[in-house]
Amino acid sequence: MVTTDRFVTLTADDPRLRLHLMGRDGTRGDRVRPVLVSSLNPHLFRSVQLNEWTFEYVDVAALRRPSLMKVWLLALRPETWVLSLAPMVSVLGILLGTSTALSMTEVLSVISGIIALHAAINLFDDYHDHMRGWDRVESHGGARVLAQGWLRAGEVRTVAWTLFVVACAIGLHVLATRSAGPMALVAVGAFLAGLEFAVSRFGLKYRGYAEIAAWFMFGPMLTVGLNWALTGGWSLSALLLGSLFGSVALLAIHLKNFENILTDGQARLLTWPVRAGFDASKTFTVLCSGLLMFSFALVLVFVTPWPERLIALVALVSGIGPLLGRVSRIKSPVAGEMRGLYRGALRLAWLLFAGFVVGDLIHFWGDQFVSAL
Amino acid sequence: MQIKIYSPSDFPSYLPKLNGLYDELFRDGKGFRSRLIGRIGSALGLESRVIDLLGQTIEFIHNASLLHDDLVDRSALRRGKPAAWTKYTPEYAVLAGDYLLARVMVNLSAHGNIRLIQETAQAISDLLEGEWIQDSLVRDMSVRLTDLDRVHNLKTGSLFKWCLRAPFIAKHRVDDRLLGRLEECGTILGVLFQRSDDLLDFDVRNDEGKAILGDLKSGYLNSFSVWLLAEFRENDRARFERAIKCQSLGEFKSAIGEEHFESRLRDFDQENQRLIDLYQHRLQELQADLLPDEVSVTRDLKELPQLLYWRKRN
Repeated sequence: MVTTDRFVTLTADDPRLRLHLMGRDGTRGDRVRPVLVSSLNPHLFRSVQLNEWTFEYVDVAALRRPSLMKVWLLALRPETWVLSLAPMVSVLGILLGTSTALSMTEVLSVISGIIALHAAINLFDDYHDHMRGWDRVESHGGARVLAQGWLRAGEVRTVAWTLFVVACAIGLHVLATRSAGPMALVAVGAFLAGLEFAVSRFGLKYRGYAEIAAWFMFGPMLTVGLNWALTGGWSLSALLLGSLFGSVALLAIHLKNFENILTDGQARLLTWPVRAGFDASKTFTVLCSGLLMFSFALVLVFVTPWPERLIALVALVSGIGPLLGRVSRIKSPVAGEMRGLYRGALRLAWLLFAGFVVGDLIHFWGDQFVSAL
Repeated sequence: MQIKIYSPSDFPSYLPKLNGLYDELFRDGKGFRSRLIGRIGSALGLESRVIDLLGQTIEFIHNASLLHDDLVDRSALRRGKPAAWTKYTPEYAVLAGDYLLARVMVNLSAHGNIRLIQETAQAISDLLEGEWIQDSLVRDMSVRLTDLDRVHNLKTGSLFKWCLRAPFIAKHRVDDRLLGRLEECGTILGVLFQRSDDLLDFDVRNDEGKAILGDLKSGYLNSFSVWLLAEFRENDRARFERAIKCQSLGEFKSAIGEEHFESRLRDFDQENQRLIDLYQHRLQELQADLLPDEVSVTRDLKELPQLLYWRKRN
């Protein structure tokens, strides 16, 4: 251990390391927080310094932390919930439209459970990245609330587990009212897939498979699985909706990785954009967008042909056009245009989701209105 | 050691104008990097011919980058005099820079330390990568400090890292942990040097009389510009747009407010003092990896951040 008044460096086998990572140093009380120091050296991952962890002792008052609510909102990353919410709600919309017996309680339970699970996975993602030291070299990724010392790792872990327990409780409640086997299978599968994405024990996130995994996890696995769990059978509609929303997730994850191509490349993280290259990644964005439009066309043709679906089409086109325009203008990996590509993709997902919801609502209320007449 | 450290064999007399070009280039430089090499090399007990070789190498690389940089940026002046590409031709500037890099490889390969050659090749590669990326930042008004740090790590930091590591490699002290620590120190020095250079653009501690607002006028937001203007870029776009179009420092300070300028300067200095403290911490870590006869190196390294950032000795 090497220490000056302001900094301390601990080796990987130092018993004090875990305490420091959890946001405490054991001697200075709550007034001072050990904050992990990010290295300015982009080659850290090639260096033996990876086994050393440097912390800065920072006065909590000097952390310039926003309000606690804002910090937790940042940590929970609600802007990402759309990736799991949209496919589930679209399937529920189809089932309600085909008069499948679903109670409002069940619908709200499923939605709440999904949100709780997704939020838990986001928190586990940040927690594990912090504990494994990714925050030392990656200046992006996650909500950065731990990297900036705004929350302690222990707090994040506690809330993550709490949300996970809530999600399980909701899931068990729904299981009690439906065929337990299929639902349990889907739930466990979704959680394990989400955990692998967050914790990355097999490193899929950084080996170029994140995009494919995202398409599957946020797409057909969710929609077909949910449909099967609620009806006992499979449906083409669920599959096509899965393909559509899976394509949205594919585009979002690709743009997230593309946005970070420089930092990931320097850190030798072999994401798809790093392996394919800058120019090929731009082309891949166009291909993903094409897949998205094609999937939507299939939905229009084969999934209960409500004209209200056109609202979603307008939302999709109005979102994807500007996004593709931005990507085409990008000339370098540090260009200003690179920043916010992932956020742009999430905005597109929300637009599409809103388009589906508005269309469904117009359809249901329209039917009821006509019936009343 | 000499700063003008090349021999007739480096630049054949039958090549027109080459000697004259290099004479002017090397005459006016401060030779900071080669002096640093000299001090570290002497502390490590390297032979004088090896110290000269290392000093020549870094000066060749640095000046090659200046020759190319001035042409890429279309800078008319270098060190207060016409840049090489204006005095001679752009073609000569390109060829002269390439020739310096080629001489580096010739001289190092004659020396025969393969690890040193690898280290040097990597430094040149990083330098060029940084130049490539930086070129795309001109007229990019949404660049952030983290983006600039990444570029400067490659462009400026690569040579500082080389200065710290090369003497040890020349001594065949190829200890990964030692070299890793030196790399961390070099990274911090590179950032501090660049940020200090960026302050000169705003006439802060500008004893060398560098041109004011040169970066901003050519459409490049340097690290201090980003630091000053970040909150306007997010919250007061009109003010931001007004500030980036200013043609004089007085106009610029009026646009953003004198008080804001001074307050942000204090914050910037505080943040960089934090980096200096982190550097000193890294030096303490380094001491544990040095052999007893190498410990005096840290004495020379200790004062570097003060020199580079505050531009003064302790």
